[in-house]
Amino acid sequence: MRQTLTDGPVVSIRDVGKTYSSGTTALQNIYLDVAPHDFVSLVGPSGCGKSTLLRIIAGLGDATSGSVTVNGETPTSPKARQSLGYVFQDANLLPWHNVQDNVALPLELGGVGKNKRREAAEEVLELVGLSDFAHAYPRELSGGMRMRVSIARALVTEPQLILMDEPFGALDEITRQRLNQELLGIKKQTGATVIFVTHNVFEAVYLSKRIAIMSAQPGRIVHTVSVEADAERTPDFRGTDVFSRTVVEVTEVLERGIARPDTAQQKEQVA
Amino acid sequence: MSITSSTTPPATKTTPSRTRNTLSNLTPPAITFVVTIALWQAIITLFDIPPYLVPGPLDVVNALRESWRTILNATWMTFQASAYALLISVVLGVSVALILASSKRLYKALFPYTVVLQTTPVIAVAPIIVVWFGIGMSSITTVGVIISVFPIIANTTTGLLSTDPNLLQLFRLYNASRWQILTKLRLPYALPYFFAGARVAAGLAVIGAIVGEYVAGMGGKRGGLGFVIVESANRLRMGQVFAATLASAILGVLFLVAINTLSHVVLKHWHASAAKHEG
Repeated sequence: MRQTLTDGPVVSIRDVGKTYSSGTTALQNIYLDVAPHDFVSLVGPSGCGKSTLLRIIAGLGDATSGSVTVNGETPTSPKARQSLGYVFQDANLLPWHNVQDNVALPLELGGVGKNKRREAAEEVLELVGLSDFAHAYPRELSGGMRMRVSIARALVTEPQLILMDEPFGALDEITRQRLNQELLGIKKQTGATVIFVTHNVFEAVYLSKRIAIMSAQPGRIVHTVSVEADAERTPDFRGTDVFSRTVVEVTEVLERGIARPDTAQQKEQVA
Repeated sequence: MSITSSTTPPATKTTPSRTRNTLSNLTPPAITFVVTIALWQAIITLFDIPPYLVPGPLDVVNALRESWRTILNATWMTFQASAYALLISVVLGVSVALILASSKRLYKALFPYTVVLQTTPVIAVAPIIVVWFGIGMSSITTVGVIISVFPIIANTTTGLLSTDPNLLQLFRLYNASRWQILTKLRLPYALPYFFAGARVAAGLAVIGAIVGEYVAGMGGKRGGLGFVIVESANRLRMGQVFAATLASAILGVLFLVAINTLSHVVLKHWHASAAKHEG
């Protein structure tokens, strides 16, 4: 069952920093709270540490300072891990498993029985529109379909929190837009909280309730922008004033962050 | 052979085009065969080479007709020795690979010595093996194992160590145990690498068995192809030498085809890029 905490953030990041042994600072002074049902995008140039931050939230990497909690637990705890789904940059499917078995993998690793696995897989495959491909193998699918399988796999444990690391970066624009729309539908149906990493400003504005803009060297959040629009979005949204205004705002902050790190750092207090 | 079939998209695998493919694949080697045989016979006739030096194609066919029973028996003996050698190499090779891949320190400590195993000429150690295991099947099989185990160790170890780091992270994310990571990820991921090694090992097992029979083969009905070759060469029965050599070549091809077929069946669902190590 999906448990929802009524109070308190799903993800709470307090003064997180990460320094590699080489001395490079990947992340510095990161503060971020993500409320239940929120859709937060992390946007920034490559090398700003947005993927690193996502991996720390997932418990796949360690912060060298500060603290991260998922539902009040440390990210590596089994409880926190059970409540999250992760979508990688690549579809990351097992070539020897068919679609259904790939989707059911998290349940298989959790020791769930065969029949229950199949039922759960069928359910999420319907959600991503791949019911007819349950017995196909990854090599027979297009890039967009593989990504859908990957998303279905992240959904199969009914996670409360979904972390997505540039999931549509390798897809063509048309497929990307279609999957954006589907993702919003999935989010609505499941009520999950989403943290979405991208370097595509349009995508971030289209999908998010909030956008955390990051800057590189050291990686930090320079500004947070709220998208002043309904959660329910149709392709028409791309033609609205709010959309273009927000795109301009985010782009300006991004450019400032790259061009003059000093002024960007002062902006950080806002975040 | 497996490369072309594994990269062919499934949509083009309709029956008529497949038959045409097989035909167009078979025609060039068939032409080569006919031309070679003709040239062979022509040179022998032209230069009047005696059959005890170089037998003509007809001499080989005659030798096969006269002593097919001996050759068939010998082939069967060599087949058994090669099959045992390959089987032991697979079990031993995969076990060693699992040990090598289990820790970086073990790998560094042991891998150089598996290379020594490969670089030592097997013919140099063969007499020692005969002293230890005596004349017969166990010595012959041991020589086959020594020569064919290395590619399986090397390839399987590489496969086990090159698991996609993203997939490893996926498994960690879902709290997979070490055992689950090994059986559900690392072993299947190493399969294409293993088959690449097994393909090389299959040919080497036959070679090893024949080398083994040179030094530890037995006479009478229990002699393998290696024994028949040495025996017949000593008696200058070159037709029989060539016939036995031909049989050993066919045996090698048989092993290769068997491994290829197995590999194709096991890996048929893999994406072409993932199965690239097959070749």
